[in-house]
Amino acid sequence: MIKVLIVDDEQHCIDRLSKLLHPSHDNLLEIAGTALTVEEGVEKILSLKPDLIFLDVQIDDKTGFDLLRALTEINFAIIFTTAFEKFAIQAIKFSAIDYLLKPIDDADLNAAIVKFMNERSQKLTAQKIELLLQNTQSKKDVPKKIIVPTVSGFEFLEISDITRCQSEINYTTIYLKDKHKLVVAKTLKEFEELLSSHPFFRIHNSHLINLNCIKSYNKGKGGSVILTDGTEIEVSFRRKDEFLKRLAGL
Amino acid sequence: MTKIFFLLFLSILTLSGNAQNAKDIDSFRNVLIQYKTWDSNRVTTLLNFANIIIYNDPDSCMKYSQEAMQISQKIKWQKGIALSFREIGYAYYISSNNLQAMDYYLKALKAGETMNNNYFNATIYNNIANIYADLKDYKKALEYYTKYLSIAEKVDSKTDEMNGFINLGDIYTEMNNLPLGLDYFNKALTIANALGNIRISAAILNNLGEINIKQGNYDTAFSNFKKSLDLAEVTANRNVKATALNGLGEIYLKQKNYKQAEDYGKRSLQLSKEVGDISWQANALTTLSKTYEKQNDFAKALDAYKEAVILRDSTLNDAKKQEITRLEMEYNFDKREAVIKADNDKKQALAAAEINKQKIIRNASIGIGTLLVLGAIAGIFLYKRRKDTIEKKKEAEFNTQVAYTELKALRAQMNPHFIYNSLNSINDYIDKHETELATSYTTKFAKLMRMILENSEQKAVPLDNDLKALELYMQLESMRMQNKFTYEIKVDDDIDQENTLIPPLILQPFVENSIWHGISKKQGVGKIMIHIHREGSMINCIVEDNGIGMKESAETKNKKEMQPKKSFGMKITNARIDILNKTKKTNAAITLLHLEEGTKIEIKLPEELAF
Repeated sequence: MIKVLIVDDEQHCIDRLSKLLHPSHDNLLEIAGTALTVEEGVEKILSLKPDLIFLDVQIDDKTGFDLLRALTEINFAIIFTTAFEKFAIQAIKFSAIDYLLKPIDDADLNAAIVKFMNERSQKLTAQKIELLLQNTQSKKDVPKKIIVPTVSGFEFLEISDITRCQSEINYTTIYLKDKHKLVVAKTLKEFEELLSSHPFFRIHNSHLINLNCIKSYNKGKGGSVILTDGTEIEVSFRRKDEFLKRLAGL
Repeated sequence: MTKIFFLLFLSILTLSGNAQNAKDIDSFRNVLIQYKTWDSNRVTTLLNFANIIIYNDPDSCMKYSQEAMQISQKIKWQKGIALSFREIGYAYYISSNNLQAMDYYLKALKAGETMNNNYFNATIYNNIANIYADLKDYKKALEYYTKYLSIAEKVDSKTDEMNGFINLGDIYTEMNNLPLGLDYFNKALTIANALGNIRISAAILNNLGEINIKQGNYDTAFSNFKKSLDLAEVTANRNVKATALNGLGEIYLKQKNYKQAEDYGKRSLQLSKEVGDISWQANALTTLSKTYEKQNDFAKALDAYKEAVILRDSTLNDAKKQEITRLEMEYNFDKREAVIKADNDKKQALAAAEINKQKIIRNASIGIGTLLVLGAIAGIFLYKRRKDTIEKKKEAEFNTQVAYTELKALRAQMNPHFIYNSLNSINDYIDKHETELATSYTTKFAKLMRMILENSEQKAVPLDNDLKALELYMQLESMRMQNKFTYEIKVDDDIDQENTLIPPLILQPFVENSIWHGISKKQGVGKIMIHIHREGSMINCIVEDNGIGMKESAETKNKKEMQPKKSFGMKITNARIDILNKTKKTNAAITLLHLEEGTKIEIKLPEELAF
């Protein structure tokens, strides 16, 4: 049985999640406890040693991140629950930690639990949380690192090390400055969204490039760019104007 | 003594030397009597005649000259006018009216300008010089004589050269420069002899004699006077003769030959009386007085002296008269000069004024031109600024319109009616203890709201994304209405849903219309068909329902309304399409079709790809 802890400052949210978990996952999950405050949450984590925590991002005037910072050791998985915290969601995404939007959809919850079960053996939560906490230390700084799911597990990447991303249908190949490449089980669109606050630009349906890695731009209908690694990539003519605007803004 | 010589130089017209005798005078008079036609011939004749009689009959000379003047003016003969002026000038001069003489000489010079005749000018220079000499203004006299002489030499007129020499000789004598005086007189004499002009030769000899006496050279003086006297006898010139006689008398006096001196003095006096020359009478009387005195005939000497003094007084009066004339002339010159100066000043002032005027005009032109250019620039600038302002205003208005429309679109999508209905239906589920449905409905509603809010930030969203939102909307409405309708979404395979962009939820208002006005009032289950297909370069989005149709809907709603009222959703969609067309220069359009059963909306959008 998987021990579950729900931390949320609103009782009805706890109740709602409890109710969603009960009928379908009775044989798999056990709600070991609930907490309404960060302090209670820390206490319950230490005493109950849960396997999975459903953690609200905004807990009164504190955050779920504060709770995590209060812990010296992390040996559990986390699924964040949030209503609408754009910044937090972005940070969570960078850490490749799962999250659910409130009100929680039954189907989304099931998908999240399935994902947790699959990744459970990897025990990567501590690393992911470390990155999350790093990235959320200041709201002004954009995350410097990203965790990406690969076919074999997860990979920690410095965002500035990424030269470009190329779409391979439902996968994305990430090309790094050290000539390594990674195939990631995420669409290019997801990466585009993820890296939207970084100097990355989708110049083509299949290409997302690091604007800091452009060596030269050749004029043409859309033109093309040559990157520091020597690859030449066509720029979609529909993206040309916006691309040049972004370049000028650098 | 000088006056005699001046009178000699006047015969400048083309008269031969022999024209001076009485016979010629008679023949001239006859010509003038017989030839009365007013023409240039008569003018010439009159003037020639006037010139001949000038010494003997100055009054007639004046008369004839003035007649010549009148005729010349009448026939507008410029040369005649000039010559007439000069002749009148001579006549005045002979009558000792220097002022009038000068005036006429100047008039003659002016009238003669058009003739461009140097020689004519020369004669006048000579006569002007004569007047200056009379006024003892030797400097000016020399200046004019020199002018005269140089022209005479140029035109090679021996007579005038001679006249020039005589006059210069006379001036130098007056200035007591006796050697130069002798020199010039001798030059003149050579020419006079060569020309055979006895009268002038005689006069020159007299002058030479006078100088000889002054130099104490009595023998030469005597010889000269004697020669002069002989020649004067030939020409019957009493003036010259009187001078010569007096000169001889003086020499006899000096030589103590009183008898002879008395005799010559008497003869000179007699002649001088005949001629009416006071100066020479006085001279003769002085010689006689001295002679009587030497002969110890004191009574006679005193008488002669007294007479001489009286005559001298009268000559002194003459001198005074001359002085007055001089002053008068100076005054007149000054006045004339003042007038000329005033005239000049006026002219200059006018010229200056004209220049000023021109300057002002020029400056004004430049100023106006500059102003015009500046005005034009300012105009263009202002026009551009105005245009820019208008454009900016238009742009701002447009942007406001865009923002307003976007807000309205969002409001249309998040129609309060829809929101409250949704909440109401959730409430209804709870009332009926249909918790599963309530949960499902709520989460879908939350998802839809999230999507609407997120997508409303974008101008265009991928088609697949938008259709997901639309589907959520239809699911919610279908649930709320207890499955009153079904829906179908069909996208043709040749459309790349991820890469095709459409304005967010552009179809939602039409779906809403179909549900609320078409299907809700329909008996039985309705159906909404969403079909996206390509039509050339356009993406055609069709929303079709099998409801009661808009006409019927409108009738049911309000029977008085003939035209179906456009819904808020329709209006807002039209506005969005307009903005799209304006910003992207496209030709998106909405068509509304009333079907047998239900309504069909076609929204044709230009295909827009993300990449």
